[in-house]
Amino acid sequence: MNQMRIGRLLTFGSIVFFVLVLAIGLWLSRDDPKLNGSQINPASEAYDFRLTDQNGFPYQLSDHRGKLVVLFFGYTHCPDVCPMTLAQFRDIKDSLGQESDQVEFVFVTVDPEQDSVNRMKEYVDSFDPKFFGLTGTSPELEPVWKNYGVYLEKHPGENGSVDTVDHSTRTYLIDPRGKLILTYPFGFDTDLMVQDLQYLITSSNS
Amino acid sequence: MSPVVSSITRRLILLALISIAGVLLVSEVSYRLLREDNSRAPGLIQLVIPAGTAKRIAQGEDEPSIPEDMVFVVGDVLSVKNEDAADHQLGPLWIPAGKTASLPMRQVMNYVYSCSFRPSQYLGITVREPVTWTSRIGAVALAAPPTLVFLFVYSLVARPIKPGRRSVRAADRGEAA
Repeated sequence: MNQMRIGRLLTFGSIVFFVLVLAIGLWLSRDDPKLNGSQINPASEAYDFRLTDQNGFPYQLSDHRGKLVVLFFGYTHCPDVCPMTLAQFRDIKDSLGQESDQVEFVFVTVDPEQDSVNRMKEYVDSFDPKFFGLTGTSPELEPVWKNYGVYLEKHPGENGSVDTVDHSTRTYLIDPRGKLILTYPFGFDTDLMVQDLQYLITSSNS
Repeated sequence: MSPVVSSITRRLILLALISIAGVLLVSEVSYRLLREDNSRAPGLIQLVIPAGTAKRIAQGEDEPSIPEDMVFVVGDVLSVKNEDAADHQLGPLWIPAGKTASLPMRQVMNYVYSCSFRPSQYLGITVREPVTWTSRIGAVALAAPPTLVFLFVYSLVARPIKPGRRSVRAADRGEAA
């Protein structure tokens, strides 16, 4: 009799426990935004451009529809933000594994005078030869900078040192339809960026 | 149930209640005394950049009233609608003209960002853990068990449980009767 009572109590307790766990799980997953970056609504058409990659081939953004494009503006002599961002891109690519085939990492110069095709190749390849390093002439690049809201201010080098450029440090994410959907401030968490890319890869495949 | 087990159980239950009450008291008193901007649940924070803002700033007029430092809690979503004809940057958000940009605050952080609104061109953003009733209950749930263990060990030293104490007393009562 006593054992029957204990059995009933255990059954009742287990049901209550599972209902509680389920309720807490549902409560925690409520109304959670799916993307971690700064989302642009409505998504705008990413400004199309044609520049030259580190191998001397033309790179037209619209030719790369069907892939996610992670875009960053910087320069090869940058002492801090650019190498840190490209190293982060490399970590993201590693975390994505095979899924990284669906993502292109693109680095566009803000210093066309110093960033030649050869210099860009040397620099980008030191991070990952599959990354794209784009350069061009100032007239080619100026509308690109303007349309992506890139701020830059050049400081001539002193005593023969290289020129430095103060520039914005935002990373842009363009979806496979060519829409600019997300931006990330510098220093944004790598895992959260990976989550966003995985979510977008899964959504675009389904 | 043996008298020793029964004594331990009774003592544990009593001390658990005392621990919960004590921890709850300390937690609530410190919460009331140290209450800050993060004592709220996460939510949606919406800002609007009015049309003509860039023009007014270029003419040296007052910028929209944005505080120099903005304090958020983890889980907040900052949404900024740009009704201006120019792109704007507000901290971590870049808002193209005519668009809305929104950013969920996922992590605790303390940063200074550039801002196209402020004469200084800088804006401080602080994101803290929110202190809500769930986190306060969580704190009690985390602090009560070690307090219980501490009190129980202390009670064993201060007032040891003697096996048979109860049964001896019961026998005494039987003899007296």
